[in-house]
Parts: sequence; C-alpha cells; structure tokens
Amino acid sequence: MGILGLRAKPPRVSKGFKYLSDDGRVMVVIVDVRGGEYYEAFRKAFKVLGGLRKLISSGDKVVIKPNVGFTHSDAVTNPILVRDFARYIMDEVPNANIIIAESAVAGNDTSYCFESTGYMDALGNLDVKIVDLKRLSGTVKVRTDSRLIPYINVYELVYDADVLISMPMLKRHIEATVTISLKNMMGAIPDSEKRKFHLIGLSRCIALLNKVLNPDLAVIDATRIMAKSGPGHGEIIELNKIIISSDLVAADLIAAKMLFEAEGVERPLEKALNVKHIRLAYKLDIGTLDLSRIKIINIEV
Amino acid sequence: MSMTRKFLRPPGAISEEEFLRKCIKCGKCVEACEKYGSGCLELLSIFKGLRYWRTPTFNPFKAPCEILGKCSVRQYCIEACPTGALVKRHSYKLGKVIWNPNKCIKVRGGECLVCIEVCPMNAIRFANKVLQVRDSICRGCGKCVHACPGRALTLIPC
Repeated sequence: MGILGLRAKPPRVSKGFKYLSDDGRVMVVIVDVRGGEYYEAFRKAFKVLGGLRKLISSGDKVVIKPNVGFTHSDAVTNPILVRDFARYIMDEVPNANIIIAESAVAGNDTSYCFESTGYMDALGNLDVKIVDLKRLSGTVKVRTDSRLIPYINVYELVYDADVLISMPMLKRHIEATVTISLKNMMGAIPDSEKRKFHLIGLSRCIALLNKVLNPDLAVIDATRIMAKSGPGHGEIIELNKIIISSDLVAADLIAAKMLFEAEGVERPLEKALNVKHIRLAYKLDIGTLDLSRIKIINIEV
Repeated sequence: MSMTRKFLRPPGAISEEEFLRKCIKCGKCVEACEKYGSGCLELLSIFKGLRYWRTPTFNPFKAPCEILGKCSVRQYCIEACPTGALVKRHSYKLGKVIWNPNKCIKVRGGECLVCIEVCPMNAIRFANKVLQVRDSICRGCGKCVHACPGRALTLIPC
C-alpha cells in the first residue's frame, strides 16, 4: 500500500490568500534597504501590501524556510533579515508560533550550518524554534497529480504549517539557473528525495513540489546576491533589496530579472522568463508570469 | 617499500604499514565519529582479509566526512585513538575522487551537477561534458560522492 503511494496525503492546504492590488493584480514589493533597517522595511512593505494579519492569524504555526544549506555565510539567507522578520511577525501577531526550519544540502549537517552561519547567535535570544529537519522531523507522503513522480516525501513539520514562508537568498544555480523561492523549497524534503529529483528531472520536480506544498509567501533576501556561479561559491554583489510577494512565481521572475541585470546579461527579462522551473511552475498554475497581471511597487526605507 | 593503501582510512592516518601495526582495532574512532561526527567511519569486515579485519575505514556512501565542517576545529576520531595510528595534522586528505562518465546524469542529458553544489572547496569544474576534480584542491571529504544520485563518483585511497 505504502509503496504505491495509496496512503499518500493530499497537497498541503494553504490559506489561499494572495496580496492583490485594487485592480486584481498580483503585488510584488521591492524594498530598498540601503540603511540596513530591515524591521522598518518589513513594516513599510506590509503596510503597502495590506497588513500581515490578513495572512497570519493569532495562534498560527508559521514556518519560515530560509536557505541555510551551506556552512559559510556568503551562501545563506542573511540571519539578521530572518531575525527582523521574525521580530516583525511577533510584534504584529503576538500569538504566532514561529518555527525556522531547514534541511541543508545533501551531506551537510544542518545544525552545524545554523551555527556556523550565525543563525544561533542572531536568533538565540528570540522566542522562535530553530529546527534541523534532518534530525527532528518525520516525513509524510504527499500525492502529486504527475505520473512522473506519483508522490513526494515531505517533512511533516513543513506540511503541517498553517503559514509557510519561503525566505531564500537570491543566487545563481549551476543546475536550475537560479535558486530563489521555488527552488528554496527543496530544503523541505529529505536527502533521499533530493537525489530522486536529480534523477527524474530537477525543474519539473521543483514545480511539482511547490504545487504540493503551496507556500504562502516569498520573502527574498537580495541584500547581497550571488552572481555568475552558485549556489556554493560565486561573486557576491551588494544589492540591498528585499522582494516580497504572495505569488512565488511572480516574485521569482522579478528577482531573477534583477539578478541577470546585476550580472549585466543582455535581455534579462527574457532570460528570466526562460528559467525552466519558473516556467513549469507557471504552467502548473502556482503563480503568474503575465507581466500585465503583476504590479511592481518600489519603496524605500 | 611502503605498502599501498587498499582502503580509505580516517583522517590523519599514518602510512598503511605503520597504521596496521599501531591500530589495535578498538573501534574507538568509529564510536567517536558516530557520537560527535557524521558517522562516516565503520569497521572493515572479516571478508576484507584477516589483516584488515576490524580496522577503521571511511565510507563516503554512508556519510561524508565533516573534516571541513563540524570537525574542522576538533577531530574527535583522532582524539579517540589511543595508540597514535591517527595523528593530528595541519591539513587532511582522505582520498582521490574518480569520475565515471557512463553513470553521470549530466552527461546523459539530465539536470544534475550536485557535486559542484556540495563541494566545500569549489574543486569541481564541468566543461564540454567532462567533470574535472582538481586534485590539488580536493581534500577527499566525500561530500560529492555522497550526494551523487547516479553514483558516478567514487573515492579511492591516495
């Protein structure tokens, strides 16, 4: 029974809430954080979006999934940014149960990654749980509609979240071209599943995984980005931006465009539209790539 | 003439001949690795030869060695060794990576290069369908070997 995936669970039920503008377009907020005041940046961004309380209600289990796949701090989401976001959520929704969960790249020790990249120092004093998924969470089988991979093993903690937030660092990726909020969800599956993804076809599996997990929000750390090559080693560029949207595909498109612009690539938008897993995610109706349906709002702190 | 290494050894292992003489097969390094490290060490079975029986070996398929990560400050396996068969050094090299193009998913047209992603030393390059592991930089920690979904990489003693 189990092998055939008959006991598999349905996709994660998300709140289904999207931050839309008055004319029904998907909002993507780009915040300039040159001064380094991230808390203020989140406050302003969510004021423009319409408030965090629309997404997170009191008592919710909020799982923030940063990218802490590596042992050096150049390749992970800025811990200060994660801390300030957690603090902002706590102040807005006092009863929220915040969990920061990650399973590092295959073969890396997640607990050590959290320690060596400064997460323990930054978040240690805060009332949040930092979870090494590889050690502390069981897995559940979740059904997909695809015949390619009938079910995906996902960490239970992520599956059970009321609100799932993808908080990646904007990076180049050697296999998937870019690694942003969609690719970041690879950290919610065990190493054995990651291996399977590479065997079957990474881009399609990333799209299917996001269909199954339905993340509610993308908060992309573009304070410093990794260009030219990645995800472990690359050229670090200070961009001082944060991108926030409840539409992961639109957020990834805008972020990818920004990355290619910073690299000096010709026709960055076209290149961003051609990223395979973003296009496949759009085809699976996870979000929109239609630029007429995306409203980009630039704000400064 | 010194004996060539037949099996991968824990970090800091002295020359094979000396190692076999000094190792008392207590298994303390393996216990320390299980407890504090990644659990990449194991004891060789009797079928590998009586001489090698119960001597420790590094198995990258079980887990990669954390010599460049968690264990970079303290090498618990070496500290556990009572006879000095494992000694602390300035830097460690555990083995040499061998690539099999017939099993490589990237060469066969798939979307992979997980080896480059996980390499902590950035020692791997891929160009013109050839994977190059730069031996001067590679420390043989086995992260790429462990992560490779096609099992195209193997670690051999050096």
